[in-house]
Amino acid sequence: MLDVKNRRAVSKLPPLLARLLPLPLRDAVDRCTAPIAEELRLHRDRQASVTANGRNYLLPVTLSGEDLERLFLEMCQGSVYAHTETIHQGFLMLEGGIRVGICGSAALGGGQIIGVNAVSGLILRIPHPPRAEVSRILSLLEELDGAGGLLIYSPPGVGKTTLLRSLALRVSKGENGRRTVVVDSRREISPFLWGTDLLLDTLQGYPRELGIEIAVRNLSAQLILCDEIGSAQDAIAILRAANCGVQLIATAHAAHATELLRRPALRALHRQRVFAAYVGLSRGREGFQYRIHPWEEVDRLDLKATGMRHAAADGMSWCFDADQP
Amino acid sequence: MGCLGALTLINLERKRLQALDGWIELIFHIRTRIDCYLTPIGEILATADRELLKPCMGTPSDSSLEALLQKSRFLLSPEANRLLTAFARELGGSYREEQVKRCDYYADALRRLRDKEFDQLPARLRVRCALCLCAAIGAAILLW
Repeated sequence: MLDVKNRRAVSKLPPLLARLLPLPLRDAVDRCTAPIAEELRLHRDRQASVTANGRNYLLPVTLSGEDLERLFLEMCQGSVYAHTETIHQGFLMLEGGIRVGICGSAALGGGQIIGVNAVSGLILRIPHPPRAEVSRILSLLEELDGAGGLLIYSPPGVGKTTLLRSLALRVSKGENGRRTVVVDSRREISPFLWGTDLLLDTLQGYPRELGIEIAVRNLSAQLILCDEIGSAQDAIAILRAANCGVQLIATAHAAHATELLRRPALRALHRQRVFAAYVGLSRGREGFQYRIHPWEEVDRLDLKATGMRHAAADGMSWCFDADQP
Repeated sequence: MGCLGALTLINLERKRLQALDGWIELIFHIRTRIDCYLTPIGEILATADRELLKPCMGTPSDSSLEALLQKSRFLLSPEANRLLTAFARELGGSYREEQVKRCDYYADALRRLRDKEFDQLPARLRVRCALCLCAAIGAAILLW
């Protein structure tokens, strides 16, 4: 990419990565035909690759195990122990919201990961400034007028976090904005949330359930945004917040709306009507595309799918499970 | 001149012990910061008290242990240098429990070395002073 005004090549990589990555790799990323670099995948003794708009581009660069270990140590600022908490969950957060997924050999103790040795892969997710077109979602929020939240779903890598950032900036802007709290457990949403006229607070690194409770009890949130919900603890905290009249916008991984409800925690939230609508996200050439499903539609789809699952399980042509509401 | 030389050598020996003491204290400080706060090594050094770094000839602007070690290398014995080089190389590369154990190991090794050098100090000082005085007397005889 050429910055015509300054007559110099502008790297596709953020400054931190441009500084950390070996020169051959940096050059390969910049020369690659991908328009931007959304994800950079580095594997021991295999070609590195860049992902952009859902497409993968192989690079003519291979890193050795030693290169990866050295890079990993530099990413930890020479102090692996300082990142123990996130490394045990399989990732590292760098400045600027760059998430690094770590592949390696896990050392286990008492059933828990106590260390990762012999790093064999580093998957770098590069955040981008929020430029998502969110007017449809904002209109939906206005229509709902506080009566239920939104659950945004998509497979990984489509842009749920980027969308959340855009929403956070728009809904909290100005005097007419809503008091918004972002519960940013993995410190991925907060980068790029700049602006002096935002009614926005971020809880970085807080466990999701605790962050939601704090947002409701102590921060007078009108709207809470959080990423990648799915656990029972998340569901309990979200339900409590919803019962206090706080609206929620959350995201979850799923390819279809009915897939969401196969998870017990999300099914429980669905039954309590915490989310008034489910928004499926996909990426087209012109940007994000939304499929909006009201609660009733998802409920109908779910009943049908549940019936079909039982039919398949029992080997009968059609069967309703009498215990399912 | 002989007395001046002797005094200089006595001072150097004292500084040597002080440097060793300084490093032992610094390792304990690093150990505490890692054990309690998981502070990255660069931050530990940047926020360390100047008085803690002074015996090691360091300042808070030293961003790594290697940089700090370079400054006090000339004051330390080969064995102390070897231990501290190994410590600097191993620090930061693993998790808390292991890092704390490494700090304990190297602090222990340096403390034993320090005790040994302290015990040998009087004899060393006598030898150095005697050598300085003899050299001074020899030089005086030659000049005369």
